[in-house]
Amino acid sequence: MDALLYSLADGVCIGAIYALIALGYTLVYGIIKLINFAHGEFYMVGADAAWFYYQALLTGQVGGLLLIAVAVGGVMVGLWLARRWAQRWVRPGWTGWRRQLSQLAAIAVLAVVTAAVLYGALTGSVVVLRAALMAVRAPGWLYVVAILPVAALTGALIAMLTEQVAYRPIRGGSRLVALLTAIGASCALQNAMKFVRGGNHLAFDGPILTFRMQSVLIGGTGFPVVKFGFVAITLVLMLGLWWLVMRTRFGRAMRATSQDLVAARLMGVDVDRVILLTFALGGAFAGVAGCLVGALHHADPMMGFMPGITAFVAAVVGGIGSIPGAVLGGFLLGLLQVLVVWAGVPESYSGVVTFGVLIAVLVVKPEGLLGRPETVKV
Amino acid sequence: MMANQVWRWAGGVAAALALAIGVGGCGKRSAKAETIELGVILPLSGDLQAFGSSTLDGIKYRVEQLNQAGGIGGKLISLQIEDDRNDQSQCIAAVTKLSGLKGVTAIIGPITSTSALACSSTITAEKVPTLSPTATNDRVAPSSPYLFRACFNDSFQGRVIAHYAARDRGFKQAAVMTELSSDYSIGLVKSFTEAFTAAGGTIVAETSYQGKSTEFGTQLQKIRASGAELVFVPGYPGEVPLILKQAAVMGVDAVFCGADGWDHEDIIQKSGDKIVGAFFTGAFSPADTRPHVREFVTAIKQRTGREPGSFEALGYDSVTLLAEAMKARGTDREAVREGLLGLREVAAVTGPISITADGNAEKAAVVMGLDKQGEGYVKKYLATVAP
Repeated sequence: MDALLYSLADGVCIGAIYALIALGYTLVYGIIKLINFAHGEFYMVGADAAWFYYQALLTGQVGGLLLIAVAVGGVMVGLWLARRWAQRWVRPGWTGWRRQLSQLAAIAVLAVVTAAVLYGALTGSVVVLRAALMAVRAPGWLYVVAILPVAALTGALIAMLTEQVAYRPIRGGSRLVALLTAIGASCALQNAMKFVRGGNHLAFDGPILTFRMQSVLIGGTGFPVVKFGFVAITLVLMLGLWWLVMRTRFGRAMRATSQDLVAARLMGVDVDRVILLTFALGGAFAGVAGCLVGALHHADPMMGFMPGITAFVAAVVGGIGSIPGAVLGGFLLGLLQVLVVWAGVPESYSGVVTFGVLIAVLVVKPEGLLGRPETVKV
Repeated sequence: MMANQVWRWAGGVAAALALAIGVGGCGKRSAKAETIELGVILPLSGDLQAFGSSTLDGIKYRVEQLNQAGGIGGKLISLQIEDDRNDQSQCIAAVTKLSGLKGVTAIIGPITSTSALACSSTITAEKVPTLSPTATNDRVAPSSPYLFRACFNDSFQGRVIAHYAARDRGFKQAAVMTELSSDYSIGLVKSFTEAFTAAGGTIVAETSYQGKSTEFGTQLQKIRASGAELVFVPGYPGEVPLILKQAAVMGVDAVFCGADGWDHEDIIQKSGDKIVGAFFTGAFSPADTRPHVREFVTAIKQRTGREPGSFEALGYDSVTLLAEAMKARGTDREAVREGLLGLREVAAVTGPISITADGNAEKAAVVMGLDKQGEGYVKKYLATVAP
């Protein structure tokens, strides 16, 4: 009985993480019918960014890798802004090299300015946050709260970047091409991170380590307090997402795009922007999940693979494209994985069970538990 | 639009760079007559990166030493290093590449039993003598006439740890945690279980986990409920620190012990206070007082800033064994194989090594304990067990 109670608590907490990642799959699939296999990588990048930011908070020094990330991020965001704004900097009469040169200048200025702003924000936030955290002798959980926004922001940025570089150019093409591109993007991100930061595990020491060693007794056994944070944060984010999708203009644009992309565009919805922001949203959720799991265990370049695949299964089981479905699927799979081991099935079969459920759901109810059946009009 | 063009340029430049790096990498092919080419296959990225880079530190140091002393028969040793990322198919590819394309005399690596077993038939087909520094699974060396090892095997190692636990420390009830994807872990649990039961102990809980997992709550819960006094976890640095930290959180009181996979700073320093009192079998004790071991320990500390463990030591000894074999018989592949088979009582830093007819290394093991010192943790020598 005690063991069951413990396993249930564990399953719910792991399920919360799966749900958080599955939301990203489902959001993106709902809107452009793309299975974004690079999603687990957004989770990994979030965890890494959180680790580097955490080190900066502890030591007061912004590491070289963070600076590189900011420089690259700044240039990318600058280029992206330039898509929209570079035109305005060109005098109407200019043509030829003048036009080219002024556009190039605009892009360069925007890139440098964004990089500078990002750098300022980064170092400024490190100085201020570090002072504040030191002043109140912050416990470990406050540090986790302090690094969460960075993980979310990085997750969002990397998701937007991936969308711009890998998915936008092939949008409208065959779905197979999109799927393969997604797998390619996943490999590229994994290996790029491995190249940049090395393949080692980055563990969160110091105050976060102290915090994660704190436990409450469940069924007579210590249960790490930090895992309850998973559930709390996931629930808050899910409520926020529900509000965003159901109660805001942007949410309406999202739902419209998801129903019919072409019609939405004809009605004046800026479809490209909606898609980009949907990616950002999913990436931010993945980043948060990565940061939480990283803080509990460690960050490493391969950490996104298994949770990514499992969360994908969760999204499909719940009904891909359905937001409540992703949440349900996430919690279901989390519980299932833990309960299977509790029931005495050898750990080596946990994958069999996970994917067995996937196959069973696809056979019995292909649209997923909460999904809407796809009707094809002939 | 201009910005679009810039994106495209950026993509093009990146692709060109990637291509250039790829082609450049392939173009490096130098098989000069006056050097001996040694292949090295190690996980230099991925979950066992820590083991790979430590082993490489030992290998490089020994090669430098030999080259400074004039090489072998006037020929200098040059290393051809391949990263297998602890991936079995990468490992097989690396054997083929080193043996065929690079034409190496012999290969040092791979370091895991699973990888060594995976590429053993390729090694036989390529007829390239391969010396694994650390693949301890019983089946590794006998699986190919060209496969050798510098370490002891698991039936010996499992016996050493079980006898130490049961006889010297008086543990009666033990639990085991097997990493299912690792031949090393499976083999060790088997030999530990046999020896521990034979010595009068009982195994009260058998649990397992997948490599690269991060959650061990259910397993530790079972171990805690079983009342085990000792937990044997022959794992790797990816999971063992997580297991120990989680055990501390859950209030598992049992003492933990492991095998030679524990002999690395990544486990010793990153596992938290639960590591205090734990013990493991290693190939090597840095407290050894023989002069050539002192010299090795000081030099590695100077180069890496860390105290050497079994991995640095076995990397170092692998080069020594190959060098001795080449000095004895010559530098072509068959000669190296025969030379290795003829080695008796080679003075290595992990103690005297003899190579048996099936390619195994006959040598002693040490049992090391762990203690806290200041902010960090230190190894202390507990016992030596001869074969």
